[in-house]
Amino acid sequence: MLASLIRRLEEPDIEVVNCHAISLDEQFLALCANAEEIYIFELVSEQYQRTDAVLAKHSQRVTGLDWSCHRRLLSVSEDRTAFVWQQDSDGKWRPSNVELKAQRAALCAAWSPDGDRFAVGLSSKDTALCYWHEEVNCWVAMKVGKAKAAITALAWHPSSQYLATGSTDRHCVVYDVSMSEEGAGPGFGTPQVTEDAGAWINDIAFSNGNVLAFTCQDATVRFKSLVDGRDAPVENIRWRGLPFLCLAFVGRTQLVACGFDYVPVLFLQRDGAWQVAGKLDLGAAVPSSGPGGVRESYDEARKRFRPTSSGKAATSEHSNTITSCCPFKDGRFSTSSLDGTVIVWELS
Amino acid sequence: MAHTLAPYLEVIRHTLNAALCLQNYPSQVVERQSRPEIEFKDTAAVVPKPLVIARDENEKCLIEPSVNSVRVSIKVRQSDDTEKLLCRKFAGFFTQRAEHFVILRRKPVEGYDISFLITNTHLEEMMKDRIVDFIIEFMEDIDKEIKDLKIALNTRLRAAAAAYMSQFSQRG
Repeated sequence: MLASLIRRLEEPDIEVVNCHAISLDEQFLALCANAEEIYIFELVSEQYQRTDAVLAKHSQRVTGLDWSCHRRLLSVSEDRTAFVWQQDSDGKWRPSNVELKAQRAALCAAWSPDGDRFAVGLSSKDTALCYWHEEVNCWVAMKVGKAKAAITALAWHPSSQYLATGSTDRHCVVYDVSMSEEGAGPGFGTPQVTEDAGAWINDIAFSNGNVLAFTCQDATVRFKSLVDGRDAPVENIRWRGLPFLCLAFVGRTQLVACGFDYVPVLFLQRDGAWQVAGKLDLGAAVPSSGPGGVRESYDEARKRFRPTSSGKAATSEHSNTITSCCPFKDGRFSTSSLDGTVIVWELS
Repeated sequence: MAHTLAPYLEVIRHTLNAALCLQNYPSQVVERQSRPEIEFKDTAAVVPKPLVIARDENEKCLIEPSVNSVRVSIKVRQSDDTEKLLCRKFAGFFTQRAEHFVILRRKPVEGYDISFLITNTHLEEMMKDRIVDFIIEFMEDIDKEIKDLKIALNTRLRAAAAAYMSQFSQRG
């Protein structure tokens, strides 16, 4: 196995996890069980323990969660609202309002690496870029870009000056979102790079080494090195499996992609070219059938009641689609799946 | 028979496996709603081209994928009027009980006998492999079921006719 399992979280009353986020210091885990509430877990002696905090401010399914470097939690929901949560000195989580100005559901959210601003991808075909407005005492949104369909993926450049957006209209666009003290910079909102992806985009990631990666429904991961300028060629790496839903750079030259195959897949850059390194979860060996005809017939009978016939679920750590993936330091990353588990992995 | 059923079902299984990669997708047109894109076709970009897998013109399967829902329609082989009648009754029996079958569509797509509608919420509750198995097993069974019903129907008709005609033979 290329990656080892550090910890695994499974709660009896959580059957589906549609998104999760782990703070950069791994201390806090926020997850949404495909509903309106957000649960907070805290790291106690190397395991995540559920805290009493249930963040219930949204009125529809929460679609995106993200922790900032200042340990603020951003949550966005299908009910067109977003909240920024911060822990008080007494341990309570206090929300602050976001004036999102969204016409439709919010689909994804991302803090800028410096933690001062955040972006929210909207179903109304644009992106809301939010910053703290001192006078009105709330987060205020500015709209960036206009796509032909919903914005499903976001990624910030490590410099916090550029924002990459991916849309279901098959296009990936990088916008200049630099801001100064007075407000928007001169080039604010202008597209810098536009790429056609051939299918709708599921996720985007930016590496520290200026590489933009995006994955689409046709099971490809495309890499574009922005060091070589905006006309640099796109490397198209095809995966012989089902499409990916989430991407995460766990190093300058390592990318983890997860999705409908139930297992994380590692991509590596070797000699300047990206390639598939393989599945990170090779699965347990298939147990040999027990001796005796009685035992076999029992197995045969039990097969009818098993949730899966191919036995694929039994051999990988996750037994359903992986819906979100978030990287943190030391080659570690976490994945959450529709089977209700969150797993923290470490590359070996 | 030149083509056996197995490769036909195998192709359908592979296509369904690839098509059933669904995710949550709130509507772009109506706020606070999430609805099957394949039924409403709100956004053209998230509805790829449909696929038809056919053994011949009488027996085929239509798979219409989209970002959050897949519609699978089946046309069952009907070689004569009896099979047509049986198929219609059989499909009617299922569609009246559609809520128990969860993924069954109440009304079949034009030109097909039975349709399934699978959305992303079904995949959250059920295993994907199990859904694909269900559809394949259903297709295997419906052929067999209609053949059995036809034989049973013919046997009963013959018995009824023989019983009816026997009164004449006794008088004669």
